[in-house]
Amino acid sequence: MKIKRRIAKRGRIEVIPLIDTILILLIFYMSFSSFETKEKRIDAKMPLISKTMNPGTKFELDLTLHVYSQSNILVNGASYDAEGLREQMKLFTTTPDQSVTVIIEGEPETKYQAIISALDACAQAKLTKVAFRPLSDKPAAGAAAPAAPAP
Amino acid sequence: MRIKRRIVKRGRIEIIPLIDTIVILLIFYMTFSRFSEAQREASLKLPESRAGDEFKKLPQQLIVNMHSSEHASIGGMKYKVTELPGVIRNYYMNLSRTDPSLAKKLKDGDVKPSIILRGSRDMAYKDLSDFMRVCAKTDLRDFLPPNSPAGITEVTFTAEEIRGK
Repeated sequence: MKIKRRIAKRGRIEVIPLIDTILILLIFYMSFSSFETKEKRIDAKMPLISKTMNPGTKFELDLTLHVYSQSNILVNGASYDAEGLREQMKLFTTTPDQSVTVIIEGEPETKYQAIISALDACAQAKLTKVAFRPLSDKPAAGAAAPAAPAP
Repeated sequence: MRIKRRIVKRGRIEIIPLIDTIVILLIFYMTFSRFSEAQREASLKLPESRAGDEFKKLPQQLIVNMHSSEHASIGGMKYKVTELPGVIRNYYMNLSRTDPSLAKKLKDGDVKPSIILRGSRDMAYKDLSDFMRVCAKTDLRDFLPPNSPAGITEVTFTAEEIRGK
């Protein structure tokens, strides 16, 4: 007796649905990869020190950060990088009433990233009273800088 | 003679391509609505920071995207920083017309006008200084409680979260 050979069905990959699926996955990953970096907000309540400010405004304890670059931020005459500044700023949060006002100033060409790094260090140290000194309001060279406590 | 009745082919809706199309449209609108809603400019390279809260736009806040003093944008329109006081005033004027409850809150001092600055990480301090000066100059006293100081005193800075350590 002759036994009939069973014909095995060959599996086929359908090309058109495959292209559809790849395209959908591509769009999906392209769309959501751009949101992977989270955007954050850092609030500054009193952002500007200038002549427009009420002359009666009194700061109990000023601390001026002069930002040259991300690796050179001057506090009380000492230079810190962004990481070092964060540790340094934490020392000021230990004051009993937390009344430290941080004034950030920079050079005309200082990058915004460096300014935000200084602001970031303040925010991490929970120093929320931050002000910016615009360029022409900076005290003239040789003028006494606001008193800042020793760390 | 008997006339044969023509068989009318019934139209059918194919479910699988319909689902494909709906999903694609859903992804498209979800993606682009987020940018337009928040008036955020996607091409801007924000600075990086560790601290900060989750990004949230309050109704009284205006988003300013800034590359330099010469190139700022609000709601997709390009401006110079010196032109911003007029634009900010118009924004609050329109807001007081379209949202009377928010206008009342501003007038009562329950909320304060505020700006969200989305600055490019390569922008210089000079540009930031110009922007701050403009904020101080912008006179919004018509929309604020009597004897309020002129100028915007609340600015929110945005940054990208530093990933990793």
